[in-house]
Amino acid sequence: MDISIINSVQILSYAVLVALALLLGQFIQIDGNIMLAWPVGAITVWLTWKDGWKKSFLPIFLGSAVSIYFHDLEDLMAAQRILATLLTGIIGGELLRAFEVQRTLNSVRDILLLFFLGALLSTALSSFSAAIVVRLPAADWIDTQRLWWSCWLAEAFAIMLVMPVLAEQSKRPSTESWIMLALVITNASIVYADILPQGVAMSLPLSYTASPLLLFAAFRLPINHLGVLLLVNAIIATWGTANFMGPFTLPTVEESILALHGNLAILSITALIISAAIQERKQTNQALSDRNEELNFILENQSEALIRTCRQGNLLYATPSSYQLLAQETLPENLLSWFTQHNVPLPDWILSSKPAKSGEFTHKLGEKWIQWLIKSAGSDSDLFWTGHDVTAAENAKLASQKHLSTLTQFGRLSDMAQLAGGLAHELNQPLAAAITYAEAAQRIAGHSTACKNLIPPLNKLVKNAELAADIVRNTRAFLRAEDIRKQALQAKLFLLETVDLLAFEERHAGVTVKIECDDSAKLFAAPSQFQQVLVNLLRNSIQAIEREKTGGRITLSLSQEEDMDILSHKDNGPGIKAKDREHLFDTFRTSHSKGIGLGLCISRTIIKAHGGDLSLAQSDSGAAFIIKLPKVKESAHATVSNSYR
Amino acid sequence: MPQFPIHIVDDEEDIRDALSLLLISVGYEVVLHENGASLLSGCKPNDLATILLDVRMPNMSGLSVQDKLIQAGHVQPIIFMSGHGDIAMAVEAVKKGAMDFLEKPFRDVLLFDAVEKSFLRLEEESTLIIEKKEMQAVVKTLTSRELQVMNAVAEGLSNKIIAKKLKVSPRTVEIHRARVFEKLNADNAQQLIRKLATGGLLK
Repeated sequence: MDISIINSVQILSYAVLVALALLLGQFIQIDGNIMLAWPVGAITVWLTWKDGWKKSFLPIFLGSAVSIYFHDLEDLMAAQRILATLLTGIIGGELLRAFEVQRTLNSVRDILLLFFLGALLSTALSSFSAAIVVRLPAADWIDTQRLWWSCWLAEAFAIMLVMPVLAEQSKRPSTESWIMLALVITNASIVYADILPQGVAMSLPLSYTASPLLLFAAFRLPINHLGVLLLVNAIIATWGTANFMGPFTLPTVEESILALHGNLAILSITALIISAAIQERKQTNQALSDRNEELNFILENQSEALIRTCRQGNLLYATPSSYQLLAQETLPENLLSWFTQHNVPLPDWILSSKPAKSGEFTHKLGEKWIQWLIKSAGSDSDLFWTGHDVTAAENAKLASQKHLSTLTQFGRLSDMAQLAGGLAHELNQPLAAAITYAEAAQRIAGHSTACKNLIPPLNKLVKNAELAADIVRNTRAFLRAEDIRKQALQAKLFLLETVDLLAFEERHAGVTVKIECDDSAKLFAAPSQFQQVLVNLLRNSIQAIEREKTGGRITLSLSQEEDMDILSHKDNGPGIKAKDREHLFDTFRTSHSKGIGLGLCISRTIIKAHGGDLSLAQSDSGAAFIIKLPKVKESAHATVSNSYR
Repeated sequence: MPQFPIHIVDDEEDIRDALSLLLISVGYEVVLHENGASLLSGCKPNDLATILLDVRMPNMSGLSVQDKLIQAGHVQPIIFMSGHGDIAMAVEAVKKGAMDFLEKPFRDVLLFDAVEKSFLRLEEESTLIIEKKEMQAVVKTLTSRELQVMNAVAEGLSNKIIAKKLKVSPRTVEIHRARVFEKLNADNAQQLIRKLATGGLLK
């Protein structure tokens, strides 16, 4: 409903427009049937061009029919008027549609097609019909031809003048547009209104003064503004010439108008083509600058750093990602010297003056690893740097190297384990004999006063031999291929018993051990092996505290995680030095004189064989370890084989 | 406390030597054996002695020696020594009656503790052996009729039934029984049975 109302209103308003244009044409008709311009052609072509003939037919027909009502025309003339109006509009508009001429009139092609199809071709037929109808009764062929020419040019020219004004461009008039308009009006007034003394005004060259103005406008203004200028210029020129003023005044009006129209048409078409060419160029420029912007956008928003420097390293260009990659607010003036300042080793070829095509190098900057790909056309040309953050890849590489070295170490360790096993086996008997001999000697020496002073060294002999025996025993505990037979343990009782084992040492070192554990809590572990781990941790803490201070405190606390029991061991001793942390669980590392550094390694192996983990925990003061053990399963006994079997 | 000889069985000469030095130094008496065979020939089943036995030895291991000793009816307490502390082995040895298990190297006090413990057992054993010998001597002095009566009493039979079985009068049985009790120094049938058990004479 609404749409049909809108359509009706549109049809009516277009019909009024056509009627007005016809009346205007009538108004500027002089000397009987000679038209100065025929604006209705432009209106009808434009309507059809815009909406197609099916839509434009009705308003054109209505408009021309209505206009006839205001003119006292013969039937034949009236029919011709309606037919000619329809022919021009529909042929011109449909041709423009068929050739897909854009109503923005932005290209030379569009202007040329508008000129040949929309103006010349479409009006040729209608003008011919008008000329025949008007002058045929007189059978004066020369006059008919002249009338045809004048009608044709008037109509075609009107299309070329009006259409650019209707071009669909939405630029608001600038000051420049207004100044140009004023200049064109002034110029036209001077040239065509006989303001100057007659001799000067009549001179033909004066007609060219419009050219520089309009050509300038063609370069500077949008096409519809240019159209307005052309139209205004043409109106004034036509009016003046029709009144026998200006350079184109010839004996008859028809001749004058024809000459003027010829001149104006050339001027107009030139200006329009220039304007379209300028538009095309602007579009190309715009497209280029859009593309450029797009490329810049891509360039500036990608993660790689792109830098261009001269051969000496002076910075010429850098993408924003370069700042990020180098973690700099502003990039240095000279990249090469900046690298040198930051102790980045540069490949020799960059520094040498020899021509080189391309190369790459990787360096560390802070925590980051950066890889640069450098390209250069020759020894004197610029360097193009492409930088990536390869930290992840580099770290992965390092991790795999470390893994490999750990594996190698494991291999060595297993060789060593065999050697150590053999040694421990062979050493045990002589050590046992040595200890027993020494103890026998102590007893014997005890019997006689003469040998009393042998006793202290013999005591030391026994102690040292026992230390050696301990080492052998520890080594064998580590290597012994025993199954881990896990069982559910009453956690609190077990911890109390374990702490009790070291009661003497604890008292001696002035260390108190606190146990934080629910009475009902359970642990799932092999008692003797797990005890060995705890004793090891406790003893380490006790010894560390003993060396450093008194009033030591060790806390053992048991907590639960989803499927793990977490036993944390903390002390208030001196803690573990940062440099020791990394290798803490390696074999044969020890910070104290007692022991050979197998303790933590064995402990971790034991806990791992339980399916758990022993790790160092973060702690502000003192050492802290975390033991994770899988929780008690209801199926009580499970066997986990020792991985060192 | 009475002293008993200690048989040290170890294939390692130094261990034997060191142990003997140590034990002698505190006053024990030792007998050294290089292997199990030497022990089996040098120690009689009823000898009151402690055996200090190494587990790992060539030819015959400590555990096989223990088996042989048990088969031959040896009563000596055995203290095992091993340089390769093995819980399974220790458990097996102790199940078969070993007294103790020492892991080499061991502190002398541990050895002395084990030895003293074995001596306590030997002492008990020795009193029993004396009682047994005495009983056997006494029993030998019984007449054949008295022996018949004693065995019947040990079986828990009443005087009447014994009389019927031996086809004598209950009165005769009573007299023999009184004489047996007197010779064996028993006040009642229970004491008699216990004494017979001590002497290994219970059938």
